[in-house]
Amino acid sequence: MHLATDQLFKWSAVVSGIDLQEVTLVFAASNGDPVLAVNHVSLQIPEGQFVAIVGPSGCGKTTIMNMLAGIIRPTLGSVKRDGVEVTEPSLDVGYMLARSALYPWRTARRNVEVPLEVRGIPKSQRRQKANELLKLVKLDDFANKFPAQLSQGMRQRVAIARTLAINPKLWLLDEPFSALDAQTRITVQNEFLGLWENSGSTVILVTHDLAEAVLLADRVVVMTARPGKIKYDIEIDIPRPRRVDELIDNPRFQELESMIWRELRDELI
Amino acid sequence: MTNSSDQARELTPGEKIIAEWRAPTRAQQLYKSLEPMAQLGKLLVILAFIVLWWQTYEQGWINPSFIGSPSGVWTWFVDNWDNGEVWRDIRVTLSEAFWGWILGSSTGLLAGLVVARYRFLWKITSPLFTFFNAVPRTALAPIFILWFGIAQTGKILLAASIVFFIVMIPTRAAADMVDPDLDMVMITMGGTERHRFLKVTLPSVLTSVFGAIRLASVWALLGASYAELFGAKYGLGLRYIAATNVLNMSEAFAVTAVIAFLAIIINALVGLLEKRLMRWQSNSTKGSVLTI
Repeated sequence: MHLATDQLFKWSAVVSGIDLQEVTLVFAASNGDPVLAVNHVSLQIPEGQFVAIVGPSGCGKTTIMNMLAGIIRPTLGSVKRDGVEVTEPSLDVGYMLARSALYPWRTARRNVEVPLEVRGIPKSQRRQKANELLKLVKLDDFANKFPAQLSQGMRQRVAIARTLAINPKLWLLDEPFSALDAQTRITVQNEFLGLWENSGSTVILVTHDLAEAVLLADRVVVMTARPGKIKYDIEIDIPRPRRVDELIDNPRFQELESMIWRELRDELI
Repeated sequence: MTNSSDQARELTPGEKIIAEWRAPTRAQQLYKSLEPMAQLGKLLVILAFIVLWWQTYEQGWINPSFIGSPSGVWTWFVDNWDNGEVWRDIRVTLSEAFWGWILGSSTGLLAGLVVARYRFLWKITSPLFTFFNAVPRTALAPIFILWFGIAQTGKILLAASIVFFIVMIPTRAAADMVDPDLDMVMITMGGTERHRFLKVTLPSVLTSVFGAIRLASVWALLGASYAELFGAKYGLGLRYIAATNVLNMSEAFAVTAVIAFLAIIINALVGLLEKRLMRWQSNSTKGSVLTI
């Protein structure tokens, strides 16, 4: 196949993955005062990596996610995906929040269908795809239930299925497991790991929960208190596939967790 | 493996309650759902009210020519239940109320959504809306007679002018309070402005304002009947004013009762529609402690 030379040139210049260069974000507080939310952050994330960002409340974690999602633009610096500046929401990014944010007037299945509707996929295909995805998160028996009829854990699994429907190349997870009780959390985390491992997609997980960060991610980035800067960046060399429940008493996990905890502790005071 | 020992084991008191539980029969369930004591209570209250009314009339506590007697109202109902003219009046008033409700709700909903979407527009138009909302709409009835004559148009518009604000004010508030997470998820999924409106804002707003739309349906009936008092070709309001003009208190009271019955029926019907549309809300199956 023949390729135009400028196209070849463009491809060679492309760095695959995420590239934050000297990103600064200043937002106006409600009284009009400028607030420095993200302070000169540079971060590169290769494609397929699972990165956890931990840091105290208000350190700008969610702000970074919103920039990656294309909802807000940095005041200074650049946010690039695969070498292209992120300027608007992209169809291959899946964003999950702490609250499942399901549409309460839609059944589980019709919630999973939402991203497919947005993409203009015909009804019968949507329905079939949604049913398959609900099966993946083991909720096929609850397809016709409304969110109010589901437990917290089930709702978050529906949200996972909905995000899967996007078939995301990039997952932005903003504390998606934090609202779940301890046991449900482990189940849902394991389920997510099972679905993600070998998918080749990139994951950025924002969390307060250090154990969660170490258990799930390939790499943990620690941010300072506001204004948020990157303080510490460490690889988690625990082999995959992982199972959260089996790792709890893994010595390497405990070692890494206490190492990162020492870094994070200084930021809490 | 533990099965055999489980069966041999004596039941705990709690397990016994569960084991001995007998589901109520259909007849028992029906009896319970009918709440016979409450029905009896309702009947007694209504009876007491009629007795009080009847005594007021009989004893002359209020000048009897100013109030209808229970028997007079009853006689009116018996005489007029198959009176085509009464039914025509009901149809006329109901159709005015219906169209006033539809017109007022749809424009109120639209206006509320528009001013919520374009905040600047709300900033500059809010004094006008506040003013018109403060205008006693009932005072417009004679003016509408001037503008539209005694045709139905004026009644529909009066009803609509009441309904409009009942729906618009909460619509604007509800559109401002759409769960930002729901909107954000739609944006990140690639939803356009149109998707956000149709799949997030509109359903959220309808959920919040359906109560107001239901309330407005009753106000539409009252507005239409009221407008008829000032001049109409047909309608319950006209029948009422005609009856009071000749001191036919039985008919006046009976017509009032008819309007009230219609309001109750409308409210119940729209309530059924609401229940059907909002069935996703009825979730929690609350229990209670079983006492022995």
